[in-house]
Order: sequence, then C-alpha cells, then structure tokens
Amino acid sequence: MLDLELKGIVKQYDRLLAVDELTLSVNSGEFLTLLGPSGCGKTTVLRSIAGLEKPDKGEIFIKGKLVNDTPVYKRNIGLVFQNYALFPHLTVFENLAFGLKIRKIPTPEIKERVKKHLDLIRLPEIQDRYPHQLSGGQQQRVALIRSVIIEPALLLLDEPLSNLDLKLRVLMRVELTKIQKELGITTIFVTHDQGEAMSMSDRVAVMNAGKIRQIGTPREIYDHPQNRFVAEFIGESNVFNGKIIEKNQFETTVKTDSDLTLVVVNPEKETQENVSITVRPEAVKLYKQVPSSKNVAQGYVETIENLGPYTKYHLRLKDGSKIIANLSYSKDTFTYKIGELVFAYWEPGECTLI
Amino acid sequence: MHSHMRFVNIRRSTIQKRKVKKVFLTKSNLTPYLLLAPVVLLLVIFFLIPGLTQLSLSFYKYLPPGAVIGKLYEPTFTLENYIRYFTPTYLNGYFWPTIRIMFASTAIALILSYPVAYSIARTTSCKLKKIFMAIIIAAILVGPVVRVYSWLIILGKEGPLNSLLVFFGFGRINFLGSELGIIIGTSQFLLAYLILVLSSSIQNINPACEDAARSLGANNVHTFLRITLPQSLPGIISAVVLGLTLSATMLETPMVLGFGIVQMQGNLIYNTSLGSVVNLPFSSAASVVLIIMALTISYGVSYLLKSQIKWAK
Repeated sequence: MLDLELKGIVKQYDRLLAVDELTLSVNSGEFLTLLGPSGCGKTTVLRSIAGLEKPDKGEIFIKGKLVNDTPVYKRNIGLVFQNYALFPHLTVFENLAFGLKIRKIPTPEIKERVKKHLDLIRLPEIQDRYPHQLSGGQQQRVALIRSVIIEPALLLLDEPLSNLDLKLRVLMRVELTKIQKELGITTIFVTHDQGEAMSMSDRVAVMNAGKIRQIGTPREIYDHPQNRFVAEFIGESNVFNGKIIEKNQFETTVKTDSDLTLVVVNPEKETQENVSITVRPEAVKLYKQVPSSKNVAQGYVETIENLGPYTKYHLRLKDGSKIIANLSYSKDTFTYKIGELVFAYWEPGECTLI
Repeated sequence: MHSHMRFVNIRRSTIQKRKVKKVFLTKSNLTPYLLLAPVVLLLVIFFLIPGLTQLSLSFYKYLPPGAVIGKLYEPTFTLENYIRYFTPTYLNGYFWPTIRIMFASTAIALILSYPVAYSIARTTSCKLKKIFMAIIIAAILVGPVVRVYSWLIILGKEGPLNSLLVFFGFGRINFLGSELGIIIGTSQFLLAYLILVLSSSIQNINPACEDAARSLGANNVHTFLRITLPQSLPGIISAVVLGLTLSATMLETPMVLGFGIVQMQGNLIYNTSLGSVVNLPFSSAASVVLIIMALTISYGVSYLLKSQIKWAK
C-alpha cells in the first residue's frame, strides 16, 4: 500500500524554482530519505507534505486521500525539526500530551501513552522536566516521541540529527531506525548527510535543483549511480568522459578524453555515444609493474592521505587528470611513496557507464 | 606588561608566584569598580542627590507668599503635606484618575500593539521590517505638543471621530475633558514603545514551535493561546511595566485633552511647582507619592505575571 504519493509537485519562490515537477511514492512502513545538497528543495518537499507550504502545482495523497486543501492540523502528521521545537514553557509530559489533549484522549490513557513512549526512548524519569533541563540528545528523543505519540499517518524528519555532536549523531541513527521499525511508521527523512541516508534508509531519493535524480536502495544508489551528479554526490568517484568505440555482447569499450581505453560491463539501459565512466576509489588497485588487466592508467603519486582504515592515494596522470585510489589498511599492504610512478587498474565490473 | 611579568614569574619559586598573583587579583578586582565609576557618579549627581533633596523638601513646612520675605518653605519636619494629599480632594482629583488611566491605556495599548508586534517579528523580508521600524521610530519622535493637539482636533466635539460616530448613527461622545479622551491619547503614545518591546520578545520565540503545534493538531487559535502567547509572557511583562510607568507620568496629554476637568498626578505636580500657586513642599510630596505608586504598581503587576512563568532558565 502507498502511504504517500506526490504527483508533479512544483514550488516556485520569487525567482527560484525550489521543486520542479517532483513525483514520488512511499510504501507503508518504509523509511525513505530525501538526500541532497542544501537548497535542492528537499525541505520544501517535506514542508509541502506537512502542509506548511502550499505547492503551486501537483497533488499530494496521504494514505490515498488528496490532502492539497487540508490544513496542517488536520493532516495527522508527525514532524520533527532540526531545532526540535519543543515547547519551552511546557514540561516534557505536557509537551508529549499536547497532541493527545487536542485529540480529546482521556487523561489516564494520556498518562499511559506518555509513560510507554518515555520507556521507548529509555528516559522514564524526565517527564516533569522542562526542555532546557535536558541535553541535546534527550531533547531530540523527546521531540521524536512527541511526534509519534499521536500515531500519525506519516513521520517527517527534517535534519533532526544535524544539531548533535558526531558521536551522539551516530548513536541516534541506530536508535531512530530501531524506533521507526518498532513502530512500523512510514517515515520521510530529510538530510544532506549521506552517511545518515545510507545507514538508515530503506530507499534514498537523491535530489538536486528541485528534482529527484535517482531513487533506490542505498546499495543501488552507491553501486549504480545513474548520472554524474549522483556519482559525485554520493561517496567519491573517479569520473572519465569519453566516447564508445566498441561494444560486444558483454562489454563496452570507451576511449576517454584523457586517452585511456576503459572497458565496462554493459549497462542495462541504452546509452548515447558520449558517455562518462565512474569508478569508486576503493575499487581502484595500485601496482608497481604493468598489470595484466583491463582498465589500466599510469600516473605518479601526488598526495597521500592516511585515514586510518584506509589510505587515499592521489595519482596524477600524464595528461594532467587525476585518479583517486583508496587502499584499505592491513599490516602487509604495500605502500607507495610520493612521486613514485605506479599503475592504477580496476575490474570492468567495478565501474559504471553513465 | 602583565603578561610579561607573569611569564617571568613562572620560573620563580611558588611562594613568590603566589605573592605576585595576589597583587594581580586585587588589581583586577578594582577594575570593574573603576569602570563603573562614571555611571555611578552620573547617577549620584543627577538622580540620587535631586531625589533625596525632593524627599526632604516634601517634609518641609509650606510658607504662604509674603509670610517670610524671600522664603517659600521652612526646613522643619512635618507630615502636613502628605496628610493634605491623602484627602478626598486630591485622591479623587488626581490619585485615582491617574491609576485608572494608567491601567486602561496600558491595557488598550497592549492589545493593539500585540498583533502589530507579532507581524513585525514574523516578517521575513528585511526591507519590510526596516520600513515598519522606521514608522514606529518616527511615531516616537513626534513631539508631545504636535501629538496632543492632533488628538485635540480628532477628538473634538465637531471633530472627525465624532462626525464618523454620527455618520454611523451613534451619538456624539464628549472625549475632551473626560478620562476617555486622555486614555485614547495616552494609549496612542504608548503604542510605539510597546510594539518595540513586544516584537523583540516575540522574535525570540522559535517559529518552528508554532509549526510543531499545528502538526500536532492545534488550529491557529489554539496554537496562539497555548504556544505563542505563553512564550511571549516575558515580553508582555516588560511591555506592561513600561506602559504603566510611562502613563503614570503623562503631563501634556491630560493638560490639553483633560480641559482642566480631568487631571493626572503630573498636572498636580506641575501646577504646584510651576503654576500660579507655588507650593514646593506639597509638590514634592505629590512627586514622592507618584514615584512610590508607579514603582509599587509596576513591580506588583510584574511580580504577579512572573509567577506564571515557571519555565524560564
């Protein structure tokens, strides 16, 4: 069942087209992330779903019902903000009871539900405190349960983790996903942090300039970026532009602008003559002698970054272009020195033709 | 120089270090007082000394003109000025009208200024905000005489407001020479100040709180009453205190709009110190009463309202 459907959403601010003919559907119980750089329109989409913005064009269906003209307070939406937006003048209990009182739920049940949800976030003793007496992480969790306690049709999260420090943020990723799965609530999560998107979501929609550029599971997005934007925005990519010179049953051969001959496993869809090839730095291997492999490029080591679990080598090729190779760390990994001439190579299956 | 001395001292013995530290501490302890000195001096010269002079003057004995040549009062201790003030003539003529006008005009100004302050605080356009602010500051800069005489015209028996009332089928109202006229003039005077105070306080309320309340099912009225209004209470308190103290000291407005029929405490002080019958001890007593009344009322009201805030940090 579809819990949310967006059809051709358009939103224009003065001269800026924030959302451009955006169509999206979200399954029941799914955790979908809108991922994109700031200003890509992801927050506008979220606010449109919530009813805080009115799209210029398009239709929004929540649980199959058209809600374009339904005001925010009748949409039954759980909303978590970046700054949590807890009511500072109300205690934690009153914050949590706010939505329930409006729904005319009897007091004993309110008490019971508040207790149940505070147990869910393992903070049973904080109900009489005011928000400013809580730590950032506690406020974050209270804001989360305040939005789910009303049993909303959808849970919308607007960069809820970005105000937390790094350690807590990583912890909260796990906690948030756990709570989401436990409650089975359909969730739309907005973030610019790809780590959050990759680790938490069932599906990720990568957005740029008001459009969804690719939608799929985190794995699909990472392994098979469909366009240059996604390839470069998600993780790191070495991108080569070139022309197809040969194509057989299994593989396509491309001559790049930097005069390399690269072989790629045939993509599922048809491509034009002018193409780009992307390969992840962790798929690139280095060798001292000419490797007996396809996809070989020769260059010298320009910079070495030691990053703990792996070492990042920046290679400069003859024609001035660059290749990045991430070599994972182990005690017997061969290391290279700056200025050394090396060969980079990778398997045809490791790269993607766009 | 200090840092240099400290640097040298690091290498010396601990005892010596301690001694030097003590010197530093006393020096740095003095600094805040020295920095405060100009303000304290200013306050002593311009507020404390005149205030105490007035206080002592209010206990002096009044001498009618000609009783002792060249003397307006006799420096003894007497309560006769206060006893004279607390009689029905002055209480009903000045004290109670002042209090009524203070509360009424502050309340009206508060109600009228809140929506304006709210929309200014929530305006996202910087340009529009500047225009609003310019208008408000212009309103404050209008001189009292211009302001009061404008009201004299508007509120007149044949003035535009009464014409409008007659046009819509109501009877004429005697605004002038009544507390109502003074209340109208005073509330308008307070508006600009209250808008400034309130809008800066409303600006501190996180707009996301209102969105959150709506997402939880609260309609606009409910959101305003349960979320926005309680959070603007600190701003309302400052606005009320400002409104009460400003309206307590009105002079031109009741002087012109009151027609001498309705007068406020300010008029009494003015009449007895600069008017036809000069009685400085009595005037001082009236001033002392005004100060105590204004302070008591504004502290009382703000105390009552503050007791509603249990959540402040």
